[in-house]
Amino acid sequence: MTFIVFRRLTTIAALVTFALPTCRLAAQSAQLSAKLPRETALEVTRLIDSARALSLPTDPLVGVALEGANRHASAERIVRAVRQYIGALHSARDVLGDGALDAEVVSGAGAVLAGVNTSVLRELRAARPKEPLTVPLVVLADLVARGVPLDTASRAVYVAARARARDADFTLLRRFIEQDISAGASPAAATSLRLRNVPGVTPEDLQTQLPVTVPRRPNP
Amino acid sequence: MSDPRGDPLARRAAEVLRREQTDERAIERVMAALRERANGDAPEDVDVDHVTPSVAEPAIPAAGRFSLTTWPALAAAAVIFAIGLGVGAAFLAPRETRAINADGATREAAPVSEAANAAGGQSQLVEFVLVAPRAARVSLVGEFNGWDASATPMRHAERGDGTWSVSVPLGAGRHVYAFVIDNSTWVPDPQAPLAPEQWYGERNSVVVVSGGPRS
Repeated sequence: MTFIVFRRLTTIAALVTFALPTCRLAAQSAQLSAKLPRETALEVTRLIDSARALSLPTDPLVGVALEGANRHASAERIVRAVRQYIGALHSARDVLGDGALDAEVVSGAGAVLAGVNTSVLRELRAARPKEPLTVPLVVLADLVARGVPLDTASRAVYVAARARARDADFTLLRRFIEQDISAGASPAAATSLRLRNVPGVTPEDLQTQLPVTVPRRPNP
Repeated sequence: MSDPRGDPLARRAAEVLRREQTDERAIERVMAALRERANGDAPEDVDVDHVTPSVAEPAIPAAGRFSLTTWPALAAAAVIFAIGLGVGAAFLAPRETRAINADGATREAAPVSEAANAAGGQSQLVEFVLVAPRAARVSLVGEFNGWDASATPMRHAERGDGTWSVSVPLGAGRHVYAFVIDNSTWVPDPQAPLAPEQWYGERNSVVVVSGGPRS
């Protein structure tokens, strides 16, 4: 009796386990077909299938396509965005490794799209090998988007990561810099100033340079 | 002896005996009751169901028959699967599971009863807040609702300070979102990190829910 019940439970659990991804794929495909012109949906689906074959996260790609549809973007632009995103996800995954969280890969892709060099991602991974990089990467991309120069933002996040700053510390750092910028401070000065207040960051840490050279160029 | 077809005890006993797989002890007890009735020892209102309490449940349902016991098994499997996902996620990602927002004052995160989402991570209830005093309607759009402006309308606070809010369960990961004011104007969350990608020319915001699957 116990064996029969166990066998039945195992069968049902296996069916559910294999059914979930299939349902998810079907749902993604249905969403795209419902919102995009047929040809565009087919092209986007093909691109997403190729991303899936590379074990890249696909939900953000579906999201980009649907965002384009709801913002009434052209088919060409939607396909270009999906293709570009796949490239960034691929770069991030290459650097962060196969064991990276999906969220880390997506955040890393965001940083790459913001103009952050992939070598910075590699150094961040080395500086914070066991803790997820999702929040530091989101903060890095946000700082760049707010006008903090790439080298300043990259170094600040690297120094904080080396000082074992927690996710909450990165969140506060971002918020304080944002407030300073809103109050009229220069983005670079606000970042340098606020980095001093991150718990664990010593005066010596503030002298730390990134092991890689980040080009001093205007943010994209 | 009266006609057995008119005797309720005999009628019920016959029904019991016709059932499949009645066990021997039950048959004996029914027959004993009938004998007592025939001898005039049993009262008229003998409760046959008490006389035959042990109608045997089939230990193994007949092949090809979808027995009632399948449903508890199905439910148990679902519960075990959900618990397994939760335990697995906790084991694989032994990190704090809370939503990390740009500003804790505006978006509190709390665990929700859903043990697992489709992605296998843990869901968190994340509150989104926007102050828009002049708006007639505000909705939340993001990857989690297919960027559909009609999917997640925000609720206007009764205190009348122009605050709009909505709580949404989000799985672990990085979620991109924006607000849509009066069905026409898309704005990022002024309190949250900006998403660097500007696929269609305008900025979105990011919220991170910790944990989640590895690639």
